[in-house]
Amino acid sequence: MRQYTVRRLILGIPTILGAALLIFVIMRVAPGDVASLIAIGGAEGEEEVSQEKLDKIRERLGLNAPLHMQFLNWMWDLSKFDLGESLWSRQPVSDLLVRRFPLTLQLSAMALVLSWIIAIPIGILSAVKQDSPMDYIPRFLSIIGLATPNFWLGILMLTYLAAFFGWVPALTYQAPWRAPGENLSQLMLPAIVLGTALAAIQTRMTRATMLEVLREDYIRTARAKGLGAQAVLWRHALKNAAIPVLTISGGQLSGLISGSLVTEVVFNLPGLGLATVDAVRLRDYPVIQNLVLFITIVHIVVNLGVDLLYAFLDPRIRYSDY
Amino acid sequence: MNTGPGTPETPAAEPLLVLPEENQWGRRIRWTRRFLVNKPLGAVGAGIVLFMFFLTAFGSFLTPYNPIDMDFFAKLESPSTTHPLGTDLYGRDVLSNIIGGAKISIYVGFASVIIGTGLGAVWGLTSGYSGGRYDLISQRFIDVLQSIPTLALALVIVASLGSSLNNIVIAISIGLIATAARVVRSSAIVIRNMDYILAAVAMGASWQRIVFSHVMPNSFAPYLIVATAALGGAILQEASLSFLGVGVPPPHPSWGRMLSGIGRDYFLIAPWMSLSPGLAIVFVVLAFNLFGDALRDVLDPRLRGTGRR
Repeated sequence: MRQYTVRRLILGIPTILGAALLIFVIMRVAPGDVASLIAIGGAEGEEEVSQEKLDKIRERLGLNAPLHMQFLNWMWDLSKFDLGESLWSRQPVSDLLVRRFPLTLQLSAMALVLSWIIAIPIGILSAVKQDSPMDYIPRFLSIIGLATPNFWLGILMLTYLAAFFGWVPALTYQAPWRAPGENLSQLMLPAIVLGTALAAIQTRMTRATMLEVLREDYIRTARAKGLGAQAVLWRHALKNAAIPVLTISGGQLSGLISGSLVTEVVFNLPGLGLATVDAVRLRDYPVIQNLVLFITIVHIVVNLGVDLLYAFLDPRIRYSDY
Repeated sequence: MNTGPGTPETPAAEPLLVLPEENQWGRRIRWTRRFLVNKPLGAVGAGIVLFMFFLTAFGSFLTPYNPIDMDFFAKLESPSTTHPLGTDLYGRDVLSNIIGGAKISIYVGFASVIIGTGLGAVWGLTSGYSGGRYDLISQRFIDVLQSIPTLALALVIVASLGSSLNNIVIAISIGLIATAARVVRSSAIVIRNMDYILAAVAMGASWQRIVFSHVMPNSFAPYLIVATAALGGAILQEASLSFLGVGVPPPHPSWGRMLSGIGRDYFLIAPWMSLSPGLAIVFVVLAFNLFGDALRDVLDPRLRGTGRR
């Protein structure tokens, strides 16, 4: 187990560096000069910008250095946890990260817990009552759920459901430690939107693995020794079926950090996603570069954690080299 | 393609089974008929996909209005005989925009899937077949490509290149490379160790001949599964990017964009503005997913019934 962990950790570092390099390269292939774009203020077709102003902006962004030096400078700054500052607001990116990340994390956690509450019982029911209406209806809904864009579901809920119940979310975001009730009511709908989307996949997974597990020899043995149907289901079958479901949700969690992006925009929640989209709209290069790298690192770390957990739960994985 | 997709289990024996007088078209028609009978849901999906092709080709003759024409005397009109799906905030005909958006969705979906999974397939094929150091290095590249979440990657690309129709295609397709490369690589590795490859090598076939006439056709089925599964996702992603305001730019109609902007404030009094684009997305993505699932079941019986990621 330890050997496996060490190997995976060592493989993670070049991946992060490679991702940083890829993000850097993509940001630098921009047609047109970043500096002149900033000088004009993002708008097109304006009058000539003075050379002096351009030089000043290039100096500030460190764009005068050769490309490889620019990349190394970025890495050097990162090693000191200096993420640079926004081009427009001059706010340090690390501040933005600290203020915005907790919301995204909270939303992701709520969505994940909600998805388990929905998916696991329904998936089990669907497998136990295979080929009955209790099976068809969830399967039908999960197929529809897979095709439904999050933002549309969010819009529908926000527009019609909220209006129907006369529910008006607070306009400004309330932190959980200041106003827990308000915070929950704000995050409830977005969590439902994200949670149902996750549940659509998880239900299918739970059902499929339960069907497989229920046909295993050890289930037959458990039944043969006279164990009750409920005990077989919960103590034997679910325990084994949980592993793939857990892996899937781990993958989903890492996807959630970026996946909540669209939902945050729909509900106007100031999380990491909204910050990234705002930065892309404003072409705020240092912010985009660092936020996307941060999201990528979270993605890599969560995936690593899930793989380790998977190996911990299922010894068969540990001893096989890929 | 002379290996029938219906018989992936016996690729090596295929040339022996096909009699010289067997008509290729007869086989294809029989295969299609069997697909339609055994997979009714997949057939429905395929039907909707064909209908989308029809709209893409002839949509501009069918739209009652120009999608971008504004008519300030017909703002926020509810569905009627003149405007079957109503009009939006600027008096633009919703139905015309839906039909126009279908064309954009299909274009972006297919172009990005063909480019992205195509590049990935070539990459996976070469690295899987050649193995060695080239394979090892390209695997690390694929790791990197896969480590950046798809939507974040697309956002970086759009932020750098700017949002135009073709840049959206590039942004989505780059996110599709890794999965296709992985799948095709693993099937290429399996095929590389098959006896018929050994036979071809023994007969002195060049590596080009082996890769293009043996490995490629035999790894086509898994490639096709990945590509069709990616279509629905690519269309969803275009809609998401357009909704975020960084997708397909304005002269082109887009379902995602119809759901964003200040029009959202009027969704409560004009539900037709919000319902039809969303339903269009659900419908099309559903069709692609159903078709893809059915195709996967037919092409790869081992995967039947497992959850799709």
